[in-house]
Amino acid sequence: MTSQIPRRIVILGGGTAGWMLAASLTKAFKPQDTTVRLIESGDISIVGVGESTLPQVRDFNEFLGIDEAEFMRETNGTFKLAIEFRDWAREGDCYFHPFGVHGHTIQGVPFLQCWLRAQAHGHSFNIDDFCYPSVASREQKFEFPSQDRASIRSTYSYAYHFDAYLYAAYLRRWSEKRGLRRTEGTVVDVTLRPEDGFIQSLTLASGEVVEGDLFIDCSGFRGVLINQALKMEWEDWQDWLPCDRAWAVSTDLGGDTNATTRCTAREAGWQWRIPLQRRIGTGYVFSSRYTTEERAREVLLENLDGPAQGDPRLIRFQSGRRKNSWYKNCIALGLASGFLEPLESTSIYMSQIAVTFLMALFPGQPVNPVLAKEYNRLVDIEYTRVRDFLILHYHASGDRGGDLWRHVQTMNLPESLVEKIEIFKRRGVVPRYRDGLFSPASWTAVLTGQRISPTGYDPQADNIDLDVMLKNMAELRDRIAANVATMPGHADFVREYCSATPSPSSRGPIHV
Amino acid sequence: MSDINSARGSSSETGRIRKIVIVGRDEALWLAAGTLKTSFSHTGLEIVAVELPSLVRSVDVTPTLPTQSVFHAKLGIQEAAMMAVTQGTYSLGQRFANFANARPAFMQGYGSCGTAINLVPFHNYWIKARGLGLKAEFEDFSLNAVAARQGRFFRPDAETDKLAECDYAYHLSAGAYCQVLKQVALKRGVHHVQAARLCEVSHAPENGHITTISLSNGETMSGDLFIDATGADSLLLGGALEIGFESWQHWFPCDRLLSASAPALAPLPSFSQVSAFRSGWVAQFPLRDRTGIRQVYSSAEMDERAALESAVVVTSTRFGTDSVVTPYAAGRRQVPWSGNCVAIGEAAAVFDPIDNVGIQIIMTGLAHLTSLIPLDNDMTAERKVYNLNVVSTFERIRDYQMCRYKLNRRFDQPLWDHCRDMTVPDLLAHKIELFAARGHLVEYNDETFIDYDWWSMFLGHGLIPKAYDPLADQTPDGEIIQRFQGILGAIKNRIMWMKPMEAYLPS
Repeated sequence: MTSQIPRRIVILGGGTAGWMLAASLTKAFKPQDTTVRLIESGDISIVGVGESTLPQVRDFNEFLGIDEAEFMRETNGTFKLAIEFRDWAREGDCYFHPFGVHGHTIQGVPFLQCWLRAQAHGHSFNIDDFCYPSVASREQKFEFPSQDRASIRSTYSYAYHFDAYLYAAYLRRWSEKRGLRRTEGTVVDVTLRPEDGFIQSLTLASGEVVEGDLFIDCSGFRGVLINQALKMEWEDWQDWLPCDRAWAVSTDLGGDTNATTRCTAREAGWQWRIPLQRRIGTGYVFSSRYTTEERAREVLLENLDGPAQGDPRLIRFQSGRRKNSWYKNCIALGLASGFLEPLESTSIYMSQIAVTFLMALFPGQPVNPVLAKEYNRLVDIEYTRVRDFLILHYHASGDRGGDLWRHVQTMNLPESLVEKIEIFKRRGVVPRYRDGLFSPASWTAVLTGQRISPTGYDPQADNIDLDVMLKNMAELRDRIAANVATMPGHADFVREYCSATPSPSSRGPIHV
Repeated sequence: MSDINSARGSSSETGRIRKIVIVGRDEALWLAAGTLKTSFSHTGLEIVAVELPSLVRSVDVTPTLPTQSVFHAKLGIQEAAMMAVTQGTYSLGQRFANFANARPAFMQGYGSCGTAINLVPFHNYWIKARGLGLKAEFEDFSLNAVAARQGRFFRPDAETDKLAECDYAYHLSAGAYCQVLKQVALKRGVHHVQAARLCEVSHAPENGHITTISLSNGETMSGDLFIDATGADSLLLGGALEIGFESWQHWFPCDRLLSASAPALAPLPSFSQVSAFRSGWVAQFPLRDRTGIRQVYSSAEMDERAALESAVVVTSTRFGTDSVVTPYAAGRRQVPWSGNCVAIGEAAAVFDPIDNVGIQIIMTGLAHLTSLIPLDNDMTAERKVYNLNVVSTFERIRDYQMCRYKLNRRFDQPLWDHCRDMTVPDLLAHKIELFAARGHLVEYNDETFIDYDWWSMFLGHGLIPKAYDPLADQTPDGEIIQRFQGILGAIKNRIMWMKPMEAYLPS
């Protein structure tokens, strides 16, 4: 028996998705068994400026064996402990969606239930105060989580902010050093096998014909293979997620230095702020249905932390996804597969999880359709979970005014989300499921942060002596605050660990 | 930051849940009473256990899944004391014999087999190596299975954790175990009422909720929430509320359970034995003072006398005179929770006896119910979530059990031919198809059986994948052989230090 590895894998497109997959394949397969070829046209710019990630990206880097400090130096990277949401349910609101949990069970009762019971008895604790990375975010601190599982300082995870273009370039160098073959070129024709409609070859502008066993479409929104050649349908989600444009710009450093992505609600969308080492990436995601490009540009320029570096760039997109990301011998990754706005920093994750699924279900020859079926099932779960979570932010936006906000506050929600909100409102039960983002801690942060107020709580919480419970909570809050106070500042930590500023002692970034 | 000032334990004081009435018997009744009382002892919630006459017979045995020790810890049940009074033994796994004409029996341990190599699950390498002529069985890489085969027992510790994930289950004498559970519940302050039978159930006209039940002792009992723990009779949910029964008999064609006792085995095996025969299967559960026998068969194929004769032949032993046959039908009530009535255990769903899931079914319901005890009389939201999650959990367990029948290789026997040819539910069909094609395990929400259970079960029953994960080819063969030898050697070393089970039982 052999595993019948496909001999020739062709990746079309060299964005983050393309290079993440290319690096994974280069790492996983021996070059004598499998050739991986990546075709990219030099003239198409990568969508995405400052990129905010989830902790899962560390698993990916670890799988490749990437040195963290080097990678951060070369991608202008900083750390991330949370997303900070400002002005969402109410003007002046601020809450964190952290990489960590809120509190711990008290006598077996979930912490959220204890918190709700405390509220009912007139003790209004800020739930962020019970979450280590939220407090550290607020205080502009950072250090690596402790390895001591018993310590409060181990109760969080972290991710990065980096320059997505530099990350792709980093992965490209990494892959090419290990034998990946990259071709600069544009596809002018796709040849399908007459007998089964599988892709047989790509014809490049140079006239070269590239044959392959498996084709990965990382060509972005156009979907040169999955869409243009194989005509796989697109499912549109713009009614739920009406934002379809963004103005993006970089500014000089200025303002806070938290290890935090900031998402601030604006009149017809929201603004991101992603602090990198040498600049701040920012942008305004908006809906062209509810504002004009000119007005949106003004809004962005009125809300900068420092002088803009050049003119804002307009990015167009639409929320939705390909009905099947794997069809015949073609697998779409990244934007060719689907798009969800970066409100929850999911874009790199979506590429990464697709790579993970593909590696776990890597087809032999011929391609067994049951692998595609499972892949599509898993990808479908991922997209739907993130979609619902994003919709929640918009829908539960309190009494924010403006046409966009009125639309999302009153629209019909997917049934999968209605059920989750219903039981949370009743008694603070948070969703819990096996596959896909997000964890119960994430739901807790956003449901409470968006001011969805449970009318009751789990009577199990009443089983705890009230004074014992309150004392336990106050102690935890104080212990977190005391520990965070002794952490180094985020900016100092980054400077010490992985400064991107060229200096005689540290190697500067390599430009490709 | 937040304005959740209106949150209260109950959203409307008048409709508040103050009293839970549990009606039933045996394990379901006492587990429900003990579990709920433990979680709500200081809340003022009144818990009444209405005990109907026990249906447990002297021959009955209660085999559990490995998770049971977790529930016992929550209930405060001390293992040693419980084992002493229940004549209990520990179980490291189940040995399945005669499920295939041409394959030897296999031991399925309650634990993992081998460890992942370069992030690829172990079974992929085993499949590859087997194709290249490896003779070692999959179970040879399971510490649980090898220990069980060699008549040893062990409790997982830091050392065994390095080798494998290991667990153990119990074989308990049913009557004595019920007494243990009953004492726990009563000690915790559950209000206990006994009645010969349930006479009448009254409903609220506006919503059909149960308002009171009247008992044969003349007592009338009111309550806010009623728990049906009456077993397969489902007196409240199926009877009073007329919730229909969805049969699973096309997947589980057996409909009779013969229970018997055979002499105790010496030395005591640390596993249970399940042997298929023409019309069903027989299981032997070692207890200290006897061996519990359960034979499951189809009444369409044999009568009681023939069943008894067959069981004696298959197990090659003699039975006591108290053998008894109980009819059953696998399936579930359309919903486990209707109105203000939650059915727990067999009142909600009757599972085939294969894989010993009976107690697990009770605990699954109770775990969900504990975190969803309704706040007031309008329990729509809780009911919806409970029904969704519990039904899904039931179906995943059912699907796992179904594989034992579906994957049989007993050819030319009507019951087994039917099972091999039957159409299984879509989610399971997809799971089987993908494993058969590539050794990849599909896992859904609400699975009770985890990855290593499925891997061992599939491979044990002979579902050998046609291909394996291509990433397994990226580890050099020499390294794989070394790893295999390392695991086999470590298991051998470990087992040398293990004692027979008798050494672990209270003297």
